Amino acid sequence: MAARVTLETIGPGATIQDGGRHGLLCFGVTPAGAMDWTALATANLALGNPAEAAAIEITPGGVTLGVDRATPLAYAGGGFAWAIDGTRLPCAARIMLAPGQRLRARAGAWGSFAICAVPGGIAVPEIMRSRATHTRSGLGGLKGRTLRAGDVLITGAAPGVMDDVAIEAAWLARSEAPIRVVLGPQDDHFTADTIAAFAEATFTLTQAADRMAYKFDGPAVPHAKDFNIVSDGVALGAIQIAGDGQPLVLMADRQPTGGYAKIAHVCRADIGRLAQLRPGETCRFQPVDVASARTALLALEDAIAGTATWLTPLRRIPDAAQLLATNLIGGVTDGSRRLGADALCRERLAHQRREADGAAAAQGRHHDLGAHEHGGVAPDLLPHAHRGAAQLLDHRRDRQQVVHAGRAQEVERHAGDNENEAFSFPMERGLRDAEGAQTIGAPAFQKPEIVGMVDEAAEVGVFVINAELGLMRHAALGSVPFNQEASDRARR
Amino acid sequence: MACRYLPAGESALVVEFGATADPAFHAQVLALDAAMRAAAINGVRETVPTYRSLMIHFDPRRLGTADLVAALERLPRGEAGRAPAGRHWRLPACYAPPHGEDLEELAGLLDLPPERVVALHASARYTVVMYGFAPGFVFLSGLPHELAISRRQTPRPPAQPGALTIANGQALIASIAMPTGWYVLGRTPARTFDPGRDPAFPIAVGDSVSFEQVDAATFDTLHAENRPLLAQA
Repeated sequence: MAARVTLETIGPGATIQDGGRHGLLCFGVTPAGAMDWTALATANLALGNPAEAAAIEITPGGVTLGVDRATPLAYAGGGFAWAIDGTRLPCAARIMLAPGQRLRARAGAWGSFAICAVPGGIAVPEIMRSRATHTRSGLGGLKGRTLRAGDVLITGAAPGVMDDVAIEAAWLARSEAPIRVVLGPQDDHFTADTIAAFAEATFTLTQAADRMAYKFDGPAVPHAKDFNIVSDGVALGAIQIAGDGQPLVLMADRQPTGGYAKIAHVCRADIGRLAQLRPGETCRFQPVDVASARTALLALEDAIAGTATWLTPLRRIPDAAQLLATNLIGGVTDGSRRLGADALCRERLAHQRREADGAAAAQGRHHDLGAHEHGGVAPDLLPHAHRGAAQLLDHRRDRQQVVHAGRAQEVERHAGDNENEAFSFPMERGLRDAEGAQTIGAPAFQKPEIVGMVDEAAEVGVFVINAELGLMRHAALGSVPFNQEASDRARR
Repeated sequence: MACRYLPAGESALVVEFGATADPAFHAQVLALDAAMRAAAINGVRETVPTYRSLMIHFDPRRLGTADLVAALERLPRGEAGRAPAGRHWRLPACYAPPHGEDLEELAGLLDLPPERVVALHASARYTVVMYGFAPGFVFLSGLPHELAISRRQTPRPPAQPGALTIANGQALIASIAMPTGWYVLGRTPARTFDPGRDPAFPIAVGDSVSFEQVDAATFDTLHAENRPLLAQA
């Protein structure tokens, strides 16, 4: 029996998306589809779904959802902050969600679109062979609209039981590498010098960024000819240069035809990375030849097809234990119970012992020792491993997590940016700052009794900020008013 | 077949026949599109004909850009590659109030009596050049020269779905309400797009279209009944 997924909160701009509505461009139908196809495919494949099955696409506005029966869910895309109830999760994972539990995503450190996939895909009607939402024409998804709090989505298949796993896929990691582009079709509207300057320049994503197009700001890219052309077809990732000389990259919800000169197209291998930029972030465009672009795409597709080999067992770590490992607080309250500093200390030590055991085993592997040998070297490794394990927990947190008063805390800038990395290379990351752990008790806090749960802190700090971002995106979308009545008529 | 092959990323190719909206270029676009359909080149996903070019979307796993160009070069040329004649559609059109919203303004700008504007629009035979902008937005060539007018400086409020608009020497059938820089001179109750109908888009690029005047009461009846309105001659 299918599961029901209830959206309790959801940020603006979230939609149901699949691989897109293809085959109807010649009738003016925008394909839509997931903004980051790599995230869609990864999340779906982690669940055993077809790569392009319909899923929930969320924005930095986040989501809180529950299920009516135990259901495996998989999510990926960007560096969003995910948690089940109070338990932090990696930024890409497959987890079992039980009735009564809440899976929650917040904006996290980076990324503009995350995918949450369900068993068998989201069961909404296919409109012209696709479930992708295109809000401007009112097609697909849930009545052609963005998702709202209270929406109930049905899974396409009965949920089975699956292990909790982190998805440690290399292609989901944050990358500063230039965005590869193929020049054309109207690169002859620009001089060779202009194209060279375009390839060298750094562009900043503006607030005018939505599912339809990303407007960049940077050095002007002047036209050598008229910037207006007689409309021709527009493919995903087309980089239009409008009259102001600034690049506009056409994304999933682009119009099927357009009348501006297009200097280049973003390679499909990099379109997901581009989609994950947030306004204010920068990128460069690096021209490559079309054969290289094809090779890169096929290699990426092959890697994603092997998603199953990038799954590693995930143990959920309670938030209290995470907080304890920082040695920063004397107590936490979760509304129903309160632990004293001593009890927390005992929990922490027990937890560190457990981590140290695991870490020692990991260290043993690191030194290329067999299972039988590692016991022999453990006494030497344990002190390091012990500290490393504690530090590992520290690295799983970003700045939003720790609520503390009366003490300046140095937080590594990117500590929480890429949880996959932390999960992938726990020892390396942990040992680097192994001596950094400090023991600071309750006196460090002026009001230890009001320290909240980590995730609540994240909600206050991150959600609000990015809700504004979401609203701005919404406003940008709204620049072309959409008439619901009209689309209702069109559907009849 | 004088044309340029221009990559649009690794998954699409533009075959460009010219830089202007010349009917001769469009005929070549349609001919290539028809020849491609007949040849069913392995790996081609879909094609998008426009005024002067054909965009070909393909699966890069099955087809490289150079392979596609080679396959296109092998397609039959000339008479053998000409597009088959399209169908002809006669669509009801109401130019009377409240549908001919900009008719008076347009007549003033063109210095023609409103009746003459309507007669010119309703007597022409149009060719479907392309769809664009939104599902079911039909771009038509064949607008009488007397009705040539440039776009508005600033867009007017949204026109109704089915609005018949003109600008830039072209005619258009709108499918959804959008602010537009074009002039609205009438409205058809025909639905160029209906996702619940098979086919959802009965009118193909290359088909021809003419309009038959109906009064406002007939328009209302046809619109309310939502019958298959696309009469084919």
